[in-house]
Amino acid sequence: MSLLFPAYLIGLAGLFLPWLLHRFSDQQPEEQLFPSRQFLEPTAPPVSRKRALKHWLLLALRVLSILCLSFLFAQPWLSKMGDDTQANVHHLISIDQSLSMRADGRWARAVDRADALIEELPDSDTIELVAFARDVNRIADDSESVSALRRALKGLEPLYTSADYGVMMQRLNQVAGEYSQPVKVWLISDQQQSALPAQINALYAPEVSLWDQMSVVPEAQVNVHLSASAQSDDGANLRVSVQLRASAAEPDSADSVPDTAITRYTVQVRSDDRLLLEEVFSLQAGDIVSRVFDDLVIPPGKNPVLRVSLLEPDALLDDNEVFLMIGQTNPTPVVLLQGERASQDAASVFLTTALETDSLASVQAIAGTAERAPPETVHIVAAQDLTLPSIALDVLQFVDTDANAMVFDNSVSESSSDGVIQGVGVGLVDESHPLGLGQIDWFGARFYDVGAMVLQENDRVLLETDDRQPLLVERSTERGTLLLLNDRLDGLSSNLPLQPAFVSLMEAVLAYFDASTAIPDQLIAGSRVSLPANVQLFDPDNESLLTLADNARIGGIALDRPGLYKVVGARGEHSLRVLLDPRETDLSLISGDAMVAWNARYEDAETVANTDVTKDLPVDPILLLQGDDVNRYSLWFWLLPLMVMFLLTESVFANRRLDVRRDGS
Amino acid sequence: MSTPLSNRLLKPDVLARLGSLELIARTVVEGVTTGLHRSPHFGFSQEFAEYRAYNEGDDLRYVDWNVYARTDRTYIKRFQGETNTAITLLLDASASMGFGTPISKLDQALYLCASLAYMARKQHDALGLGIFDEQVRDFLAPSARPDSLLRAMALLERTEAGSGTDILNALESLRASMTRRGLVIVVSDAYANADELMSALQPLVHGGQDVAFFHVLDEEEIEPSLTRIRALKDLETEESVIVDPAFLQNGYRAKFQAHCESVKNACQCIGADYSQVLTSDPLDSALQSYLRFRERRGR
Repeated sequence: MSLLFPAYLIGLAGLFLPWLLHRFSDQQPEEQLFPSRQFLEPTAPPVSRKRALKHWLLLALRVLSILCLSFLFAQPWLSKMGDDTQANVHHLISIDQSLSMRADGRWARAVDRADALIEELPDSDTIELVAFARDVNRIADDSESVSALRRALKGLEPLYTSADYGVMMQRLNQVAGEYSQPVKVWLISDQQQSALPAQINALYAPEVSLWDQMSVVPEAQVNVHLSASAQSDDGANLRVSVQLRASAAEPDSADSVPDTAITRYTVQVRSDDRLLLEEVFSLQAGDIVSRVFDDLVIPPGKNPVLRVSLLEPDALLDDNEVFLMIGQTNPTPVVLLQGERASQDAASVFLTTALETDSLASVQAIAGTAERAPPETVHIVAAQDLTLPSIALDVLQFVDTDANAMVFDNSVSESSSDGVIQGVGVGLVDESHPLGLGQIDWFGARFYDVGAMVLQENDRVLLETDDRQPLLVERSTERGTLLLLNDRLDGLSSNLPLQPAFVSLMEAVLAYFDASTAIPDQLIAGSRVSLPANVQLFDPDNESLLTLADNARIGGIALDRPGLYKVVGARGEHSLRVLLDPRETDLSLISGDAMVAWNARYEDAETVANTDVTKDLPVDPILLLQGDDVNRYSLWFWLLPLMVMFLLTESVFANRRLDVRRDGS
Repeated sequence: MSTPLSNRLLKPDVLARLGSLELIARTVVEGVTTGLHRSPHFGFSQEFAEYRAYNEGDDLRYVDWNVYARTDRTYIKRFQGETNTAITLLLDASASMGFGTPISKLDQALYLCASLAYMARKQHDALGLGIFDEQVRDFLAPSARPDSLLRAMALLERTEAGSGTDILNALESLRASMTRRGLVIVVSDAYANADELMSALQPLVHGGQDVAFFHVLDEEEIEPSLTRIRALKDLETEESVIVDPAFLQNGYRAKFQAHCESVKNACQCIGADYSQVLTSDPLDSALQSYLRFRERRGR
């Protein structure tokens, strides 16, 4: 049960105001002083009293209040009597444009039904065409001509994204709210189970007066969704995982019985034209079968692409083929820029040892500046005199290409060893930073000679010594990440390189660097991906998607087509797989109970409409019952405040004039 | 500059009308100084009162030897002495006295007391004053000193309506202070049971006091003019009673009239004088009628 117009409750609450006034404003009669109550007897106050009709104003106010109330309740019928001709309806033809509509014959049937609907609807009504998948798009209306509407319909085609009926209904509700006349929605869809929202209430659109939906699934259909992945641990052998999931659409109206037969499906794995694997799967509707093939060898060539395909056709062909990139668990390459000072040798050893622990990174030592780093390099570690006010230009330029750099101190120590034997420990730790420094045990780390580092305005100090000397600083840059480690890492100015905390710190830095420049390997069709600047994105047809202006700025782009995309930048090429939403390829239909719950509210209204005299026109039955929205609201807006005013005046006047207690006691 | 309250209370026009009248006590009381009042004690006065048979122990100086010579019987000759008396004003200053229009009952009572006090002093009577509500708030013992009027006036001047009424308790307390016989004038609205009031006044009368009771009332409490239902708040207890005007028109008036009659009857029963004074009545006429009545009682 729900309220048709909850806003009226506010008006209803207003009717209680006079009662509240009576209840609280005149509970006790006026008090008057008297010498003694010795000869007084308490009198039960009369609830009513016979009196001559002398309060004419009071009577008039009460009569007017009752008249207002009567008109308010009678208004729907008055509106209907006065204006029966205003029942023009705005029709919203809503076509499902999701991936599942690509299944065998569905889209063609949807277009035919919409076309027929445009033909059948009366000329006095208005028509608007909307298409929905992930969102609702208003395509066209018949304000120009019906032929323009038909052309727009012919130009539509199903997308690769999924649909959500809850989002669709809420959006249609907003659209319907823009019209003063009644709105009827014609939903043409495949009534897919996976598109139902979690809560059935999301399907209710109160602004929609009439409702009808048409299924485009006349017969039973079976679809098998193919998903696969490929992984190599050693760069030579290949492990391919394949999963098949069968689903069936079985409409109640179809004559065919539910398909429970076991069907054989053949899956092939190819690299270019070379067949790597062929396997037969047996499954029936509702089955999910997964298999892993780990006896394959990586085909020759750089970055080979595997094509996994399902040979037998099913209802939805778009999910019968996937392209795979071979994922390799390679260590992250890090370039260590070596200086000329001999003191940096120790630092190089400490850094290499810490970074290559657990094969997290492979350190490549290069002499010279950052400009000499290989083109694919994303992470560098460099030495720099941090007592100087600025960082070397080559490092800044490197970071500006969306790369990451960690700079440690290589200044010459000027302090004597006297008085610094004890050293200082780690003081402040910025635990809110994604580096997760708070999880590292800094207990044993001692710093004997910390250089006087020059901080800039927007520097974020992540780590400090007990005497407030900055140890680790993140310097703000437009792109990329720049971390400054204020330690010489020679094992003399501090014992940090000798501590387990140093390995943890390097792991945290590496993870932070990877996260800051990562591009996902795969996405669901319709998702947005954030790309770094100065890259180009190629679609599966090898067409560039970004303009020159897009290249120059950082932003996101929605990828609607499935397939293998390529992100090409200064550091090479990155493959990005866009997959179909497996939920959307599940062709199971909405259950009967859910459909009943969805349509129940509108079916009640339809029943009333069919019993009325106007059977040939799709007139809003709620409108017939309650009158036109515009008239109803306008009358309420005037009569309700008027009545409240009358009742308030009456209440005040009655309380002042009548010797009758009105507290109901 | 405002007129002092004492002058305001003793209105000149009131005093001018009262100038030819004498306040004469019904019974002769004993006094210290000579005045217009007859003393209840027979003694050294020049005015003959009566003969009485000689009894053993009588003073032989008062034996009328002329009568003995003619009748051979021994009689004692008695005289009436003329002296002043003590007038004690007892003013009820309870909260209920604060009610009334155009002036409150307390204001009317203050005018009355001040007039009586002035007259008493004009006759060289000793003047006393007691103010009470639930208990005796102030009391000036009867005194013939010249400043007794000023002290009484000052006390009246600062009198305001207090709390509840307990006339029985107040008179009980005052009775011990009034050993000297004289005239006691009680000014009150008498919100007490008539029988209890009688039992409170009776000991004064039995003690030889001449009691006059001024019943000060307001028209609004005799015949309330309310037309709408009201919560009437008791001035003394501050309790509210919701009263229908219909009851005030009938039941209340009858009850109040009965109460006034019972107070009057109680006064008459014990030989006290009863006068009803309304806040709307001219005060001089009330005093004149009372003094004429006293004059008749004095003969």
